[in-house]
Amino acid sequence: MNQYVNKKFSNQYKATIGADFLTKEVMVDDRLVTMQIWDTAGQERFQSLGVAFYRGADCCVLMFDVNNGKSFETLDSWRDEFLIQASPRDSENFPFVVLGNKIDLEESKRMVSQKRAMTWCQSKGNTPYFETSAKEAINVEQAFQTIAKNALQQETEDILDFPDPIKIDSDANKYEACGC
Amino acid sequence: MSPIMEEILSDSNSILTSDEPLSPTLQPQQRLKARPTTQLSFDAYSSSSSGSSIRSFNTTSNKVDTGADFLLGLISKSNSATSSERSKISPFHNVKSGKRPLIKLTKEASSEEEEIDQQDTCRDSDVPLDHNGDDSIISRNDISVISDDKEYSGYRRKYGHEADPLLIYKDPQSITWSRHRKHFFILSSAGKPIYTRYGEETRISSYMGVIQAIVSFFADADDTIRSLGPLYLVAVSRTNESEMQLRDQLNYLYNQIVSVLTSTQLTKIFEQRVNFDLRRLLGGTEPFLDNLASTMGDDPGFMFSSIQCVRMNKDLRDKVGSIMQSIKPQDLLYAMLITNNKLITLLRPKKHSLHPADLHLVFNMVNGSSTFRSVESWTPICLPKFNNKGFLHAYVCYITSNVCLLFISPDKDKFFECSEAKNLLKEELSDCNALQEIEEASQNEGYSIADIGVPGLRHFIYKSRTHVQYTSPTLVAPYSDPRKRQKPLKVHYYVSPNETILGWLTSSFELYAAFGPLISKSALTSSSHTLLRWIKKEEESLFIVSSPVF
Repeated sequence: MNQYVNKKFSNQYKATIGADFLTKEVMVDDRLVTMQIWDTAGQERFQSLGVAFYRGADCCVLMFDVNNGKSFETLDSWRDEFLIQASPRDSENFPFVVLGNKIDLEESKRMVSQKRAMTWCQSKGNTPYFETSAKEAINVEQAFQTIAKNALQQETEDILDFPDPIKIDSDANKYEACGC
Repeated sequence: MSPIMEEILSDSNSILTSDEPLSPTLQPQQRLKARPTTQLSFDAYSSSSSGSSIRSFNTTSNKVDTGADFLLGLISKSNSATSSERSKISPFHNVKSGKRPLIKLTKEASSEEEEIDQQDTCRDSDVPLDHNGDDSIISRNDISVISDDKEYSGYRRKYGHEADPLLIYKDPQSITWSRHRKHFFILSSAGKPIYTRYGEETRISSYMGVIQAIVSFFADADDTIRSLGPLYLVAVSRTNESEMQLRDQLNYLYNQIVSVLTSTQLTKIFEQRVNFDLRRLLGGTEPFLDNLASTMGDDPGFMFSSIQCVRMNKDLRDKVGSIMQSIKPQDLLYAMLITNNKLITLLRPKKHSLHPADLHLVFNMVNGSSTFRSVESWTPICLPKFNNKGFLHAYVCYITSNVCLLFISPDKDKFFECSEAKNLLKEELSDCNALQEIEEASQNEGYSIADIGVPGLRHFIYKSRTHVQYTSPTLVAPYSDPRKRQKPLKVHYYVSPNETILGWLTSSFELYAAFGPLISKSALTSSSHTLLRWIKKEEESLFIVSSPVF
């Protein structure tokens, strides 16, 4: 995330309250969009806080380490957890994006193949998949472009009804008012 | 001497000799203890009146592995070419500089902050630090440890913004941005920015995330934030205003949003979509929030929950009122003439009086946009104290260069009737020369303290609880900063090297007066009574004592 926003990589950025907050502006179809990127902690003790952060999200990015099989296997539970906690209106079509990170390490360390990851993504309603290296800035820009685009598609024009007109004789309001 | 004055002036327990406000919410202060943890404190709450609020917050720095997932909040913004390189600087970078950010998150910064606080404590023990357990609004007088000159030049060296000297006040990444005396932030419960008093909303979205995180942190411990609607409103202040005052001000900001949307719509929007970007609907009304944010600090009417009327001969006011009565359009709720945030007269139905909070919103609307000065306008407005669920419709038109006429009706199709009534009103007022007279009264600057002839008196504010109005002479030096006034409970008597302050509350009035520093208690008492007699004598011109009803 730092790679994307600050064009630099730090493997010891600070987690604060279980989440890190960054902002990035991107152009999506001639429209300038500001992304609020909330990096929630993967640690157990912060999980309860995640609940509040999930609500109101426009897109969820799941990220695993291609050199760590367990991080891939837990994607399912993270996804389910998100949908339960965020309870989006249309959970079938809520936009997810999956990132397989740390592809800069040597091939022999790789535990999750691209094929395996893509198969999983296809089974989850064709979730977009990107292989990235935060350290080497590979695919990061493209991934976030897709994220912004998919999130924006969720935005629909809501039509608001004008509320009913007030009937002034129906209910008198009582309060300390001007004596004038 | 009146019994109450006598009791107060002779009872040493009641005479306060420090400038601690008498506000019941202020507890005896405790000094901040140095702790090697992050200290983050501000007052945040969600537009309401009960429950507990965010107090202070400690957290230790933690390292966390690359996160398992990211979340995005999207704030759409009109397409513009203002995107700049500045956005790449994390807001937290200024924290690392060890200066004084308003919201502090790193361990290093907080340690340094506390050291500075302790120095402050030693240097000036009268300065309330407000880092006590109960009240943690950041409010300090001496926030400038580094001189302004140095600060600006340092910033310029670093970011090279010499070309636009104002930019540093707007840019949340700048130290100067954090040094405004009072910030207001409004965000949705999903953490999306809705309004910031300074800077641009998208630039502060990281701070909004932090605020949302803090609220969630406490919610997680079943310490929920006080809440009415789906918004979080935050004040970060070093103005010495009490928590109660800031709470009132946040309520006003909330009411301003309700006046644009109604609480019905506001609730419905977020019920349907918790991630809604409210700026899509509020866009264009920011000047009204800005105007309100700055007026609230200066206009005592907000703090005293009362309004000021134009000083005017009672006969003239009555005449204007009866003419308004005679021409009023059908289905009218309120008709009023106002000038410069002051009321000339108000016409209302017998069973609906007008709450001062709603009247302040009306004043704010008329003052917040210059377009009302040039055209007849018809605009929906929700007056939350009257009814927060629906819109009323306001006809707004200046009938002289200073005097503005408002007709407020529940019927959205009454523009032409109102416009006709306005023509009639103007005609009839001109015929009896009243139009000229009210214009003159509205241009009148008010009265000066010298007009009253009370020895030793420098300034005062008198609120009539009966009329829910206040009166005050024009401010002269050194009282050009009304934010220094604070609200006492009953009687507040305070002598400083520069002045003697009296605050006096009874069931029918509130008086806040400033005298010279050398005045004796007996002279103070007799002067106060002279002042009260003068106000009594002038009551009918200072206040609207009766207004026409229908």
